[in-house]
Amino acid sequence: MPLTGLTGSRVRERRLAAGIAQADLARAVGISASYLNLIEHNRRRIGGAVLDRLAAGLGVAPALLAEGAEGGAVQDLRAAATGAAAGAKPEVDRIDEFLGRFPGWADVLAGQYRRIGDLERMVAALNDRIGHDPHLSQALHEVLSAVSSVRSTAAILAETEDIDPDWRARFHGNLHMDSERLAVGAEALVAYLDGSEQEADTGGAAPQEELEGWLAAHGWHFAALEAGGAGAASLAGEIAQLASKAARDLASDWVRQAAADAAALPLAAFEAARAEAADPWILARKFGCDVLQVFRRVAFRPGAVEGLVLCDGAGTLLMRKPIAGFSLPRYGAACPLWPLYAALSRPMQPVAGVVEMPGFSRARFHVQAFCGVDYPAGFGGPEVRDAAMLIAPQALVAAEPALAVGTSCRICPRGGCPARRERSIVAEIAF
Amino acid sequence: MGRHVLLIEDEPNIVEAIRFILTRDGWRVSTHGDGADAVAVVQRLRPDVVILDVMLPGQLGLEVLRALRADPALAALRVMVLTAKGATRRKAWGRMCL
Repeated sequence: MPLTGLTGSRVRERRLAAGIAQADLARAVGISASYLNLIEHNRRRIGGAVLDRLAAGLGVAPALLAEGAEGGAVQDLRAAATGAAAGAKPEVDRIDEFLGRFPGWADVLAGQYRRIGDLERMVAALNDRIGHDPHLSQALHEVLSAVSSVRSTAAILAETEDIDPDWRARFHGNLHMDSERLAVGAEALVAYLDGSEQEADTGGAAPQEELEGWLAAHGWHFAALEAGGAGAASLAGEIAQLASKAARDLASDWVRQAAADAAALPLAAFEAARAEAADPWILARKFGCDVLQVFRRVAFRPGAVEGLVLCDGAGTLLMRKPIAGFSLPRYGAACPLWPLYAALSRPMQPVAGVVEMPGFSRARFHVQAFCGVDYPAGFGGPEVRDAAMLIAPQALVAAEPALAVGTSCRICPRGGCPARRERSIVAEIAF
Repeated sequence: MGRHVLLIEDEPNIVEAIRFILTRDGWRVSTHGDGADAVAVVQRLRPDVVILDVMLPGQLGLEVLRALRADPALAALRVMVLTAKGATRRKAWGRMCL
């Protein structure tokens, strides 16, 4: 099976490339040659210590051998093959071999596939903008109206020979008025188009991705926001460097919220309380704040491994802090089985459980989800929901049953999933 | 056919230009500058021809055209649409309404 057969093939490829005999590698790693042979032919699953020792023996990073590191590339290559031009016949069944033998080219191909996706989305967004932008349509209407008026008036003046002097004076006045209007309208249009050019200049990344990239580069934490730090204002210069205005606004909001969270949950006291009882609800009670604030403080404290996803009432992901092994969708909707969405439909109730991601490693995570509700306009106003899911790594051998989830239907290999909403582009395996 | 035309157009200078041309050509020209109650004005004045600016703000031109065509009492009314765009797309929806 292509998706699961990767790690063993990679071990074999790397070993042959390094010119090491199977028996020698087996001895170095402390396993029998026949066992290594089974591994190399993908007849035995490996992980943990054996994988680490094999990686050390081959002189590569364990992540290079593990499927997790390649999973994304395999999915992107499969997707690229699906979208290939008619007549092209990519050897989909040999993706593993391609990845193993030409990892550099595979990276280039997968990277270009992702870039094409980004560009397609940008073109769609710009197209949508031209078609539906009320400002643009208003500005164009103004210019077209003035042009029509000038044209009809000028035609009358040019083509009517015996025109009455009073009428002629009147039409001249109208021409003057309309040409003024045309100049103003054209200027407004040019100013608008100049502005939109700047706005669109984000290199294809959505503002949210830009913000997440910036936060990830800082380890999702700013010492300046902690007690005794330089404060939120000291980050203004950094924020100003972000390419799009939308991303700068998102970053300002994020910093403001993180500063408020840091003030409500001072780091030392928070860590001490967590050591006593890590339950978010208990922590929220202790500090007199809400559960979502505790989630954010956990995920955005210095050196935190926990992942965090936030969504709004429509289920749209607003923030994705990744955690190794739990793939988050790059864009679009996520797996409907995520406890995040269970929490969204049951506001103010804690939802917790163990989830398992598909794939070779079957990585398990302990997740806690919660949905808060707010009425920013009071009793008469609309209900605004904000849900979050905190994702923590779970020890590999967990006795408790895990909920089988995925990333997003399009790249999920779980066959027969009752919640599937669209076909997968990867080979489906038993749920 | 009579020679009474109703011009539905919100640009005063365009109204003036068209009124000048049609009046010289012997037409009786009524004008109306607001799309919102244009249908009621047509029903009251019963002109022989309507010249309708389909570029009226807020899709009003299209709505007026639809409403005029939906009224059986106005089946004989001739409607000319006025547009600065002249795009095939506008022609297409104009046909759709007729």
